[in-house]
This record gives sequence, structure tokens and C-alpha cells, in this order.
Amino acid sequence: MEISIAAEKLFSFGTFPVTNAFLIGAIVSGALMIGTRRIVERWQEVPRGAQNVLETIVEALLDLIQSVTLDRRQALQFFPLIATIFLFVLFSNWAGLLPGLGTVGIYGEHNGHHTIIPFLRSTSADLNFTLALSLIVVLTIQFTGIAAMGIMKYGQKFFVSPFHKPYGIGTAVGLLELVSEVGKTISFTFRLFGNVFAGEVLLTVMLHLVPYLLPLPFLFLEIFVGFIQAVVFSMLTLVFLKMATIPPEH
Amino acid sequence: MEVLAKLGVDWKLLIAQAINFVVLLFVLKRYAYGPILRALEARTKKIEQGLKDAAASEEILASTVEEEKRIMAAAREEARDILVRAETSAKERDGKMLLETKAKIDKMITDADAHLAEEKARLVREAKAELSGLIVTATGRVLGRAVDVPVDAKLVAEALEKAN
Repeated sequence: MEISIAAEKLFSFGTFPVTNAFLIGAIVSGALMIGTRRIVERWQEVPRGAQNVLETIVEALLDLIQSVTLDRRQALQFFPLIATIFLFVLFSNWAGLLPGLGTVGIYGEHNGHHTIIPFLRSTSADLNFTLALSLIVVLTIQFTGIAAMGIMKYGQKFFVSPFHKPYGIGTAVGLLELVSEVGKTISFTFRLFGNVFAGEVLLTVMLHLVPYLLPLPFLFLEIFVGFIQAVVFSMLTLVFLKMATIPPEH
Repeated sequence: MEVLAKLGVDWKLLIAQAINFVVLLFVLKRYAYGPILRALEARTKKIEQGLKDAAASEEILASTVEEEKRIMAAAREEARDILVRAETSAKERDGKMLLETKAKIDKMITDADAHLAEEKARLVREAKAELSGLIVTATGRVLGRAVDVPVDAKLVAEALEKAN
């Protein structure tokens, strides 16, 4: 049993290390592109099969987003980012639950000793992905805020003159806001990583302790956690985006 | 930074994952969300239009039924009117015809009466003429001689006239 916080390297592509988490991420995103494209190509006026599922997801997400933004135009503007986060995180979380987790792989050297390097590792159980996604989200939040009210007005959220009404308090609150933007990145990164990685470790440990039946409830739990984390990540992004477009009150 | 490296953060992988996600985002936005949202919007519009059309046709149906009822009622009224008029005019005509017939019959009766009277008068006249001749002959025979015929005839005619 080998537990590694970092994603294991499978092989190198030039100087680029291809890890199992990156491989799964690429496969999931490729599958999503091809899958949705196929459905869109065979679009029917009366939905059938997979089209129904996709339509349900899209409509439910759009309704949810609109219930937060209270604005159809803004909902449509936020929709692509939120939906992509939701779909990608959801399916990459679930991809890590497929049978063969931690057992099927290539035999190689990792951290100095020989072990099996599994093919399957959820993309979300790799800090590279969660950090990248958090940075994208936090940057998008800043740009959305600037686009909504202009850079000067948006800057007033963080830099408040100490010579106005609440005096020093406003300035301190503004600086706290600035720190919280960094905090957002870190909490986004480690919330998703922690949940999914912990799930994988839990399942691996359970599998090694009792190989039959006992891991089943935990497997169901992890399916649920994978969904919940996808919802949490996309909904937090949505809420922060909405908050960024509301002008500061002072 | 060493902490990050210990946690497995590698800037190459970080950038690769970011690019992967951004590519996925744009591909999905361009080829999936756009067409799907447009199709859903179009369908919503279509359904709304369909419901509106259904409501409109229902209204038209209701008004048509109303109109039909109105027309039927008017037609019935008119039919009754025509019937009544026909009845009265028939009655009138019947009355007139009866009167005419009566008049005709009356005339016929009168004509027949006149004709009969005339016939009777003619018969009487003829009888009288014959009778006077007979009387003259008879008288002549009785007297045994022929009397002056014109005088006799005159006398007989006078007598007959008196007898009348």
C-alpha cells in the first residue's frame, strides 16, 4: 500500500511529466467534449435518451444560476464557467472511483522504491489541478468585478481611504477583503483536494483491510462526496462572481 | 514554495491543467452550451406560441359556436314567420276563391232562371199562336163556314190576351 500526496508520474513526454491525475483529467475532458458534441450533432426537437440527461443538467444548472443572479443575462454570462466546473469536477471525481483504483498500473519507481503506479487517480486528488482551477476562478472573479463596475470602483472594495466615515475601520476591512481573496484561492484548492484525496485514501485503506463488502458503503459515500464537491465548487464560484458584480456601499 | 513542491505542485503540470480546463471551457461553450441553450430557448418559444395558438383557436371556436347559435335562432324565427305568412295568405286566397265561386254559382243560377223564364215565355207564345189557329179553325167548323180569317184571328188574340 503506497499513499502519496503528489500524483504519481507515469511517464515523461519530453521534459513534461505525465502523471496519472493529468492523464485522467485529459481523458475526462476529451470524453466530455466528444460526448456533448455527439449529442448536439444528433439534436432532436423531441429529446430522447442522452439528450434528455444533458438537457436536464443544463436547465437545472441554468435555473440554479438564475436563482442566484436574479438576472437572465448575467446567468447566461456565468453559465459556461459554472457548468464546466461542475461537469469536469463531477466526472473527474467519479473517474477516480472506477474499479482498479490504486491497483492497476505500471510497475515503476516512485520516491525511491519500486511500487505499482496506478493509472487511475482522480484529477481532483492532485493539487496541480485544484490550484490551477482555483487560480482561474479567483482571477475570473476579479475580472468580472472590474468588467462590471470599472477598475476604480472595484478597487474601492479593497482600498478604502482612512479619512472617511468609519475612518480606520473601513481601511482595515478593505485589507481583510484583499486577504480573503487569497484565502479563497487556498480554501478552494484544499477543500476539493482534501475531500477527494481523503476519499481515495479511505477507499484504498478499506480495500486493504477488508477486500469484500466493507468498502461498498464507502464507495457510495464517495460517489455522493464527488457530487457534493462539484456542486460546492461551482456554487461558491457562482456566489463569489455575483458578489464581485455588486458595487461596494461607501 | 518548497511546501508546494512537497505537496506535488509542479508548475508545468499546473499550467497544463489550467490550459486543459480553459480549452474544455471554450470548446464546451462554443460547441455544446451555445447550441443547447439556443435550442432550449427556441423550444420554449415554440411551446409558448403553441399554447397561445391553442388559446386563440379555442376562443375562435367558442365565438363560432355562439355565431352559429345566433344564426340558427334567426333562421328559425324567419322560417316561422314565412310559415305564418304563407298560412294567412293561403287562407285569404281560399276566402277569395270561395267568394268568387259563390258569385259564379249565383250568376249561373240567375242565368238559368232567366233562360227558363224566357223559354217558358217562348213556349207560351208559341202555344198561344197555335191555339189561336186551332180556335179559328174550330170556330169555323162549328159555325160551318169560314169567317173572315184576319178579323177572327184578331178577335181570338184579344180574347186570349184577356184570358191571360
